[in-house]
Amino acid sequence: MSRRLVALWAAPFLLVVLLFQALPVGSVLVGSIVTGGEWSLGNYASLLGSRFYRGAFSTSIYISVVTSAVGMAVGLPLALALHRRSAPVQRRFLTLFNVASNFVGVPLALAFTILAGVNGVVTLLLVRSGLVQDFNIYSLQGLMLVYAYFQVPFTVLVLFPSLGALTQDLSEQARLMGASRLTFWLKIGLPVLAPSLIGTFILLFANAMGTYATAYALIGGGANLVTIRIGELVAGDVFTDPNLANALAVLLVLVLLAPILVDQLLLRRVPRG
Amino acid sequence: MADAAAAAAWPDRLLIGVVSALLLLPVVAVGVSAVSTDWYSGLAPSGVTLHWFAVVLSEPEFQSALGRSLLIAAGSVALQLLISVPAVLAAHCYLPWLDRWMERLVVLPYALPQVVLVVGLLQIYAAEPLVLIGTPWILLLGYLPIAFPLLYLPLKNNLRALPVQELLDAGHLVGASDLVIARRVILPCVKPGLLVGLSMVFALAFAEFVFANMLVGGGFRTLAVYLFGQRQKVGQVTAVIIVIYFAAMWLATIVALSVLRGRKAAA
Repeated sequence: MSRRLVALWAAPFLLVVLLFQALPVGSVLVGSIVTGGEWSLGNYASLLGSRFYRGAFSTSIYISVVTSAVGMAVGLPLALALHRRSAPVQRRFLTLFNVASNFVGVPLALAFTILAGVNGVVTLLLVRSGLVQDFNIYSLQGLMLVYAYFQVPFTVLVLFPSLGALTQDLSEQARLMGASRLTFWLKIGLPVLAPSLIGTFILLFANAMGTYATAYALIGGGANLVTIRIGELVAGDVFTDPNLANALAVLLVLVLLAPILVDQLLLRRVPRG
Repeated sequence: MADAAAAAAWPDRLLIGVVSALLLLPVVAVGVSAVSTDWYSGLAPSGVTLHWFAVVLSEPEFQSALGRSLLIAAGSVALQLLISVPAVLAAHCYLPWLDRWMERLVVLPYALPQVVLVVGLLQIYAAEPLVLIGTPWILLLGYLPIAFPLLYLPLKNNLRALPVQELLDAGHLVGASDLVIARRVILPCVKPGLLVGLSMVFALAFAEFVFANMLVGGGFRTLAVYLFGQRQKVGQVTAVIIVIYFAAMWLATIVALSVLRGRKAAA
């Protein structure tokens, strides 16, 4: 078949990706360095100079780092435990985790409202048992609880395939050579898994950092998160500033790309083979 | 030995069991709430009823929102079949540069949150020459690149296991065109991956909220946007909508897949 015909098969796809992915990203980039019709870095200056927007970044980064750490702290032991079970058990629970990690956005926020809102069972149980004075799901802590709900199963799903590298043979050979459980993990287990662990953490971080719908449906504009602020600037009722939204969007993407680039540079430094 | 193994396994069982129970908690709460007469002051609802299902299902705005979401989801599957699948095949067989590029596209959803794309799309398609904001077209076309990785990964996995070059050479030898080889030989061979990918595309387009709310909103209210609008209503109403939302997604995926499977078998 001629080259021209092959290109024809791919052309509509390339056109749609160009028009609905590349062009919007380009528009955001260009728009971020325009203020009042002139080229300028004014948008970035006013963002970085504003306590409010710096606060949005620190809150978003904080909530993303904490929920990613929770995801890893629960997800890694969980993935290892599942790895030691039989294949049918693994399939059953991976299906459950798959469903849970896809239970996000508006339905998840509303499910948590039913479960742990002002009149929710969990709230009533916690308050009546005297464990807590007051439990508010519509707070930063509440939001982190909801994020943890999808971060933990997401960790297991991403990490599980890479556990195949930790075979029974490996740990038995280590034990034959006199290694304790701790030594095995420090000298073999963690180094073998390190690239997957770092990669998983970066995905978890991006997953939390880019979340909009879950936070918006749970707390609305009250949550000072970067994604919420961007949404407000383009579609807010009170105050819209598209070019400020552009700059905020570029900064968000930079925060997401930075750990990916650092990871690739670090991995390249590790001697292979 | 077996006893020792069983004894060693109990912390694993406990961890898996506890986390799974916690993950099921919101799901159970939604299910129980949907059939509760009243669940405000006690730890358990006071009675069981299907009243709330009748209330929600008879709501005309709910019915049209459900219809719109099904339409967008079916349309997204059709677009991926018409536009993305030929591109993936062409890239796999003849255009290695495009193939490498597609592989990179897969991580893009993580580096490029949807709210960032919303900012750009609003700037381009809200004004002449091409006004798409406020119409369902921006959803159909906007979902194509963001849903693409869901289709690409399983499809590509199946393609890798196939001796595509040999199949093409054998087909050409008997005078078959690439289109015939793709439809009659290659696509049937990669059907499992294709069906998994398309069902995930369906689910994404059915449930998506950010584009649907910010780019279209009231102009073409999908089920996710309708659900968001009902968030101040009593818990039973939102619970029923969530139950129907997941039931519809699950049912439609099964129906859509069996239709596709049937058509492919007949072809």
